[in-house]
Amino acid sequence: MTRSVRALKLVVGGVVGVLAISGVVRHAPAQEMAQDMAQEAPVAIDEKAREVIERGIEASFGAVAESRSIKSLRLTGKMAIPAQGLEADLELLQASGKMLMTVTIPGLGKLQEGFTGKHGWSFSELQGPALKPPAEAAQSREQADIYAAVNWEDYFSTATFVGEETIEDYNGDEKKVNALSMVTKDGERTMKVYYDAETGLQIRSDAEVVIPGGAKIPAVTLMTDFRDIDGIQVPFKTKSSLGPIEQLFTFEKVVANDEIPDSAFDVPEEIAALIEKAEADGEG
Amino acid sequence: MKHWNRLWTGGGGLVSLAVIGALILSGCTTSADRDGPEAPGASAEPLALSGEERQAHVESFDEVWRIVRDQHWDPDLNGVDWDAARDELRPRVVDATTDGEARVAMQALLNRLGQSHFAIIPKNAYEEFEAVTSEAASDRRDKRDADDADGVTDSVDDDSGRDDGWAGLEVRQRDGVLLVTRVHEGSPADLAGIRAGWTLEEISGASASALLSAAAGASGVERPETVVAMMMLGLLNRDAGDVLDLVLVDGSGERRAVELTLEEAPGQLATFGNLPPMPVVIEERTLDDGIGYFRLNVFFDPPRVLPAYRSFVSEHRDAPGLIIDMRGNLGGIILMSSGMMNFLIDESGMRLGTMRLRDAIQGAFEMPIMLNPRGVTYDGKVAVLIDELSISNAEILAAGLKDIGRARLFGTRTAGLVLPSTVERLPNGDGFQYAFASYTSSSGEVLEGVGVSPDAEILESSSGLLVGVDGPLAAAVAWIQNEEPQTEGEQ
Repeated sequence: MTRSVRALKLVVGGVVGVLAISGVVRHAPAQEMAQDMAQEAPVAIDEKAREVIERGIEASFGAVAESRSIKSLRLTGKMAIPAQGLEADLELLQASGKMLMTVTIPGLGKLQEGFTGKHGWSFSELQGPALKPPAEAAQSREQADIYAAVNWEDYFSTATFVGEETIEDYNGDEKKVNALSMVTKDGERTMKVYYDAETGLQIRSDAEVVIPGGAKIPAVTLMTDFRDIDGIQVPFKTKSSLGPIEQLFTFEKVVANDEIPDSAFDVPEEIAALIEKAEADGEG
Repeated sequence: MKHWNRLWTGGGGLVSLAVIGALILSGCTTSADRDGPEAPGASAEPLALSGEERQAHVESFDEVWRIVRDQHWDPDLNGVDWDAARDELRPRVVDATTDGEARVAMQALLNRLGQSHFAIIPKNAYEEFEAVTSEAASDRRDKRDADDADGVTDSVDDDSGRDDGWAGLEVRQRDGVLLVTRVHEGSPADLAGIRAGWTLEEISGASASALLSAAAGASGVERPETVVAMMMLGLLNRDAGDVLDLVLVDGSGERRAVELTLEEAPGQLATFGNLPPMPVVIEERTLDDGIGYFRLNVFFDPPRVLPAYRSFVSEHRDAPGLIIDMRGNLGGIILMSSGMMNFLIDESGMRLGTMRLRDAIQGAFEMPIMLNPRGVTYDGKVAVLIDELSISNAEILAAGLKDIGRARLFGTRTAGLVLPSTVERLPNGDGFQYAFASYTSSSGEVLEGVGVSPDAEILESSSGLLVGVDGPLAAAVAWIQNEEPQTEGEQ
C-alpha cells in the first residue's frame, strides 16, 4: 500500500461523511480493536503482491518510509461534485495518530470527521454527533496514520496478485497496471488496487467503504497529479465515485511538518460527552 | 425572480421544486407536459430556435436519456422500454421550433417513468437569479468601495432586486371547492380583507371548476388534490407587482371580486448547488399553554434553519408539546430531516430510512440514513401537521417520526412524492432533476406513490376556519393538552 492509498481512503471517508453519516455509540476503541485483529488474523500475502506493494511504498515514500521524518500533514483544497454544481472547502489535518477533516459546503454548512487516537467520530448540524462503531473506527484509525501505507500489514491480512491489466486512468487514458486484491484484517472490507506498472504508484482503488448503519458501499477512486512533498508523493487530484455520485478532491496546498497544536484535534462538546459516556460504560 | 410560477409554467405543467442536495435531496417534482391547465398569463410569444439552440436541446435530450439509463436505481427502468421512448420522442426535439416544445418532449420522456422527481427546470429559473445576484454583487462591490472611502462597513442584502411575489393565501381542495385555508397576516390577501374559510371561485379568469376538472384529469404520479394545491401555489405566487383578479365567496355566501397586487414574497433566498433559488420561511411561536409551534416551507438553508430550530427546541424544553407544521412544505435536503429529528430522540442507532442505489460496476447497494441524538433533546409530546402539499422530505420527516413512535400525525395524507434526487445542468442551460435512489422508511414502507397517512385524519373546514379554528392544529393542541400517551402503544 502506498501513501496515495491512504489519501484515497481519506477522500472516500470524506465522501461518506458528506453523504450519510454517523453510527452508534457502543463500540470498542479502534486501537484495541486493531490489536485484536492483529492477533487473530493470519496474514496471507503472495510474493508477487508483496513485490508490487513494496515497489509502491518505495515510489510513494522513498527514504521517508524508513526515516519517518514527516510528523504531520496539513492538506487544504476543494471537494466538488461538478454534476451538481457544488464545491466545498476541505481541510485535513494529521499528526500523532490523530486526524481531523473539515468540509465546509456553501448552503449546507460544516461537516467534520476525526480520530482522537482512540475514538473515531463525526459531527455536523445535519447529522448530529456520533462515535464510530468498530468497522468505521478502523477506517478512521487508518486515515489518521500518516504511515498507514507503509504499515499496510497492520491493516490487511490478505494481498493477492490478480494480474497485469489495462485500465483508464484519472484522465481517461489507458494505463498498464498491476492489480492486487486485498482484504482488511477484520474481514470487513475487500478492495482491488491498481499500481501503475511504469511508476509503481497506486493510481486506482475499487473498495468497499463501511458507512454509518454498517452498510458497505462500493467506491472507485482514481488518483493523479502526484507531487513531491518533503520526500513523499502526494496525489493532488482524486476522483471518487460512490454509486452514481462522482466527487473530485483537489488539494491546493499540502504542508508537511507544519506545527499543528494538539488542541487542533479537540472534539466538539457533544462528541466529548459521548466519549465520556462510552468510557464510563466501560467501552473506552 | 419568479420561482414558483417559472417552475410552474416553464414546461407548461406542474412543478415544484425540491431538492436534494449534494448529497441527498428530496423534493417535489415537475411534469412539464402533464395535462394540467396552463396558468393564466403564462403563455409568452415563442421565439424561433436557431440551429445552435436546437442542437443544444437535442444534446440535452440525449443527456437526459443517458443519465436515466445509467443512474436509475432500477436497471429495468420501472418497466419502460427506454430505447423505444427515445426513438419516439427524440424527433420531437429535433423538430422543435420553440424552447417550450423541446422541453415538453424531454419532460414527456421522463413522464414515461411514472415516478416523481424527474423534471426539466427551465434555464430562466437560473438566469434571473444569476442576473440578480450578479447585479447585487456588483452593487455590493460599488457600495463597499464607497463605504471604504467613507469608513462605513454595512453591506447590501443578498436578496436585493428580488421580484418573486406572493398573495399570502393558501388554498386547498376541500369538499369539492377551493377553500382558503390560511391568510397570512399583513399579506396582500389579508390587507384586501380575504379571510380563511372563504372559497375561491375564479382566479384571473380561470374558474375553480375548470381548475378542479383539469387536476382530476391529470395523468401524472401526483394525486389530484396535490395537483390542485401545486396549481394554486403557482397561480397565486407570481411576480411582485402582478395583479390577480380573484372572485371569492365569503362567510355569508356573498360573492366578492378582489383585485390583488402581489408583493415581494417573504423569506430569505437560499441556493444549493444546481437547484433553483428558494425563499425559505421559518415561522416559530408559542401557542396557548406554552406549546411550541414550528413551520418551515422548504428544507433548505440548513446553516440558518437548523440553528433556529435548535433554539426553538431549547426555548420550549419545558413545553407540554411541540407542533411541527409540514403543511405546504415542498421538501428539500434530506439530511435536514435527521438534523431536526436528532433533537427529539434520546437513543442511538435508529434509522430515518434507507436509500437503494445502483452502481454501474458493482450493482445495487443500500445506504441507510442514521439518527444521532443531540446533547440536549426534547422528550415531550410531538405533533406533526401534514397535508397533500407535504412533499418529499416533509413526508420523510413525518414518516420517520411516526415510525419510531415519536410523533402523532394530524391532517390528511401527504403527496407521495418521495424519491431522493439531484439536479444537473444540461447543455441547453436547463436544470435536470432526477431521482437516483428509491427510499423506504425505517419501518420498510415505500412512500413514493403512497404518501404518509395521518394518525388523525382531520381536514380544514370552512365553518371552522371562519371562526378561527384551524382543524388539524386545534386537534394537535387538544391532544397535547390532554393526558393521552404519545402513541397508542405507549403507557
